[in-house]
Amino acid sequence: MKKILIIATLIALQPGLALAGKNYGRINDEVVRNECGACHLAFQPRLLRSNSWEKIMAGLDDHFGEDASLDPEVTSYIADYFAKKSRKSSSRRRVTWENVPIRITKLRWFLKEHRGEVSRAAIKKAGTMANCGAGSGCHSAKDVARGYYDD
Amino acid sequence: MRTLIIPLAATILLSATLPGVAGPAQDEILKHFQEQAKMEFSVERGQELFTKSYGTGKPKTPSCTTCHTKSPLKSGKTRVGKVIAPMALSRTKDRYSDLKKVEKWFRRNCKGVIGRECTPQEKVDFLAFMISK
Repeated sequence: MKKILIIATLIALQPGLALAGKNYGRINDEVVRNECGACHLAFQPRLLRSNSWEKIMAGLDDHFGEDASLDPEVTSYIADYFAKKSRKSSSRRRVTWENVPIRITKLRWFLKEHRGEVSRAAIKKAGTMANCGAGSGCHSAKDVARGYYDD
Repeated sequence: MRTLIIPLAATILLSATLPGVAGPAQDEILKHFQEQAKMEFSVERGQELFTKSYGTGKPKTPSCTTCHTKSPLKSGKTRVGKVIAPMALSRTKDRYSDLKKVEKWFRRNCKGVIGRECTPQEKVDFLAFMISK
């Protein structure tokens, strides 16, 4: 029993693996889809934990080296959406604000999923991993839009 | 009567100086910034603004052309690789028609490229250049 619990916890800590078929669902909000999707694919809330989204939404004026700031009303609207739709950050793993991850492509489950699977040509075609729905040959734009990342 | 003549004069002035791609929505936005600017808009100054390398904003975006390419007629790419529709109004017809959207992108990108907000003069010059293209 204890063993099952430990395994269940370990699986739960890996958001990417906990979902059968890697289906993260479509973003059903037009504001979120348009604002986030203006510069990159609109990442689905369940790709990150709630504290990660909180940190991202608090730092839009320096968003991975880009000013992605929005009106305060739009910012809090989108922050609310992510807070509601993402999985809660684990209370057992206390992470300092500084160490809350914000880059999906650096998460352990993400790296594991992609290890040895992404050719240099695929990255070149898409530009970066964050543009995987645009001609990478790995994920289609249609699948990415509906939150489906199975390969 | 005066309230009618002034916007009319502004519209005639704008349409006389720029080729006919701008619709009423673009004229309205140009007028909005022209009213706050010190000098009449200049397509040349707008072009200079677009192509200049500043290096005073964020390190990875020294110039507008970093993402938009040197030609407003061509598609650009965001830093992650997403395609940006051409900036020239003649190529992307729905551009510069929503003031809130225009202000949002000026705020973000002026800070990102120059390291400060753009002045109304710079905004009207930039728009004039893109609308003329």
